[in-house]
Amino acid sequence: MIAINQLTVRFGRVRAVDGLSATIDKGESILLAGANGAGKTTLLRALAGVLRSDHGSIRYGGRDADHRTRRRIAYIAASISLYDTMTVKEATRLHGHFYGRSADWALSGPAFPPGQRIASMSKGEKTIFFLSLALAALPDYLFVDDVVHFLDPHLREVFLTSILRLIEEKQLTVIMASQSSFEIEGIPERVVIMEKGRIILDERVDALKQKFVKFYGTSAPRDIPVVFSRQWQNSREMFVYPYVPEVHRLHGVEHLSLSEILRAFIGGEYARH
Amino acid sequence: MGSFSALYSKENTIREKIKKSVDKTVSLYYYCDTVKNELFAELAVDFASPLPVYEQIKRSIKQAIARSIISESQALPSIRDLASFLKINPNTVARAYRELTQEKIVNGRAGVGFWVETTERMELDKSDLLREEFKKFMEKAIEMGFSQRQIRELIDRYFPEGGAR
Repeated sequence: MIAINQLTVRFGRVRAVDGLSATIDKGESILLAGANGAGKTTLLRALAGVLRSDHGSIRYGGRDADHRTRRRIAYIAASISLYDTMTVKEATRLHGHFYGRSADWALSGPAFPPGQRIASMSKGEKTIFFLSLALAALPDYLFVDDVVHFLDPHLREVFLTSILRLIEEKQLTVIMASQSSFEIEGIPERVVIMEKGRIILDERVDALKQKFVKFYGTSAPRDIPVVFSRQWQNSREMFVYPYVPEVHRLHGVEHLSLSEILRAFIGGEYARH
Repeated sequence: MGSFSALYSKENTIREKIKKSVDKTVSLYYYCDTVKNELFAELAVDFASPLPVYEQIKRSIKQAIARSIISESQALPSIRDLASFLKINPNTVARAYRELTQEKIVNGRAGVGFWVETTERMELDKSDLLREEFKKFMEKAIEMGFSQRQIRELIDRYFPEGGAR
């Protein structure tokens, strides 16, 4: 379990993460969504221990982060320059040494020539190589920044299959940041949306699909929680959250897919609301 | 002449590519048909749907039972196999199986395996499933502007003369 309590990370005057609290159970898979600059990457880096927090705490399974918990954490960053001067063989050996486990089995997917320099790999190849290193250490926690779109369809499948296997076998806890949900949609069971360093929505995907509806109308009835609305041709699209049964007396009530819900929440009108 | 041979080799590469993709498709079908079972081919998840994924799995398994694609006491794919086939979280598959177990349509346990417990109850649900599909069909037909008579004709054409079936 991960317990984040009042976490704040500052860059100069900007609070990239601003007093954020959340609890993540063992084995949970979370989609971390939000507009550019919402603080997703900063939160992941703080969770991975790459960034020091200015305030608040993160505890892993009831322990403060120390070298022992760090070994159980894997982090796939969107921009990886680490190990750039090394070859595949050197990086694998170093990584295996650090985590105390051999990373030789790597992935069933692409096998990289041992002599290849990491610097010569494409972004997608680096991503899958670092994922293979990370998963070889059999981590308890995996934090993945917005990297899935670097991967071609085949590598994406390798990527998702390897993660799914560890979720099933080891109850891996996964947090994946992504701009769009459709590439990884089958994995997350819970979605957390960030805005300006804070959490604006935290729901289980199934529950969210039931609690979020859209209808068309001219004005919002007082007893219906319309989170925001926008003009659509001659009428207004009203987005309701959380769901109330009264909404069904209205015209054209629709449930939405996860990607439509995310689009409604992220940036734009909802943020200004 | 030079351009001809270039074209020829290009054609060969394309042919090679097509052959590869066909081989892949064939082996996938082979996998669906024999190694696992036909059920895999029936189970698909639509992420663009507002229906929760576990609910979609429940429905397609019920439909597969109603259509006799899978019969009583036959094994369902393991949670792991189905999750990696559909690229979805194993917990989602587990939830679908758990709820089907609670509804007494399926029996089993994680780690041991799941199988179809009874198809009897499905007989009751069959008409619900049909009604659901029929409603979708009717809504589309009406949207497309077919009249009541035209839709009737279309349905009647499915049955032999006299309509006794």
